[in-house]
Amino acid sequence: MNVFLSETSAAFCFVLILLVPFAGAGLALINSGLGRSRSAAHAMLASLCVVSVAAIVYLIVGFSWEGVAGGPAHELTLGGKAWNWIGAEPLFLRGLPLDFSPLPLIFVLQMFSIGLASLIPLSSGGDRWRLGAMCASTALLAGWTYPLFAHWVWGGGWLSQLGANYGLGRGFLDAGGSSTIQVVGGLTALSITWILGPRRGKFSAEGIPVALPGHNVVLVLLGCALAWVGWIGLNCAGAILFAGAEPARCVLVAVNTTLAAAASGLATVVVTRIRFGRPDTSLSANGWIGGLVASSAAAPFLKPAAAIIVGGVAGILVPLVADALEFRLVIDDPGGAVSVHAVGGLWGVLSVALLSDGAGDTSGQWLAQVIGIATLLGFVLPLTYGLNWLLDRIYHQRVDREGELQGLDLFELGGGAYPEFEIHGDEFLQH
Amino acid sequence: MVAGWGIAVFAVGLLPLAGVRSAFVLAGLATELLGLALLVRAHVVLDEERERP
Repeated sequence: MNVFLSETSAAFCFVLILLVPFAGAGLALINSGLGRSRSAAHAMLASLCVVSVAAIVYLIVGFSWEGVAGGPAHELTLGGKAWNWIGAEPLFLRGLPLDFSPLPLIFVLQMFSIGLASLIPLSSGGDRWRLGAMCASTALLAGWTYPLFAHWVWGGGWLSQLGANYGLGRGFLDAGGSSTIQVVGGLTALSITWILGPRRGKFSAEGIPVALPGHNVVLVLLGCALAWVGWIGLNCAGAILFAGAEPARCVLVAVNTTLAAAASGLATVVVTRIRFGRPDTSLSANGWIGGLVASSAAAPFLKPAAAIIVGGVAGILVPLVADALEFRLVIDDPGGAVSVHAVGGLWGVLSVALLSDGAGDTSGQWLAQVIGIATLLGFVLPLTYGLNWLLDRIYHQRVDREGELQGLDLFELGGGAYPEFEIHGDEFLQH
Repeated sequence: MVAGWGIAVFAVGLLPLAGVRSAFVLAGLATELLGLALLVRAHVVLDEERERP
């Protein structure tokens, strides 16, 4: 471990890490609010379940395979250079002292981060994904996909060594998890939408999408506020533990995180105002989150003005990509996970090379970031798609037709989130 | 898509010249995007079949 923290700095870092669950709470509220009322309790319980599964699986095997920079790892040799590809820490955290040293702090941050990543696919599988399948899919994410890629970026793996081994800038850089958390979660969400297929009635026989609005936009906006707090903790703690930033740099990170979210949210308001004649609340909330997502990779390396550009571009991309996915590619993603987390995260990764003031060799850094993106699209997407496809062969992930019509609350839980209100039939279906 | 990733990774590991290495990495990325386009197309067709009564 090459991070040294005084006891005061470690305590400060721990407090920042404790903010991260607010981001998870925010995403859970957003997922629930953007879904339908008859699946609201299911969405919230699913959030708790997947976070629990992720924490346990990550403790058992995930942390071992992710490892830390400088820790034990397996290596391959290619072209005379060692390619560090997977960690080899003991399983079950054996021998890890749970104190204020960097290693346990990284474990806690990662345990919360994998919880955050596992919440992302829930929004794309809303209203049709079985609870058991969600938990099984999360176990695959937390036990294999996430630790493997996170090792390459944060655990001293080959992507982080591209600078030292091949002179590509400082190697692949992602301080707060735009790639490891957000894009990995977003690509898993894309796989889930493809495997589950669209919600019943979402597309007409001619392939034209039907609007299925979220049931509670107030929950969505409250989720945005909570996510803001959580993201500040995530980006600051990531800057200290993964980018080696001094704790004092957290002021800049917090400013950049906020500016990126603000610029992104406002940009989406303007884009939807121009496109639909009035601002769209759900898309604007997604724009806000898209700005947070994009800020994570480069927050410690950006000047505040650059953070506004990062957020502004994310705020334009999110609604346009969400539209394209639905109208052109027939992808039913109720919570916008693909546009917000996958596309926003990819833009965040690129912004490190484009706008960062700490990357040094710009052309080398560009190439390192492009190789990271190539790895996400060419390795992580096939891996997560393949794992979920196999799971679907063994344990069918989509709920039965009856369950979808009835709502997941009644069908899987036996009771709804709003028992005093009338449960509506499927008013959106074409009869 | 995996083949495209392989091209990008082996270009980094085996090609010493920066220009050639960059070209092969970009070619790998282009191969991945082609694979992604095919995957998207396959799922559009699949979803249309699912929706058909």
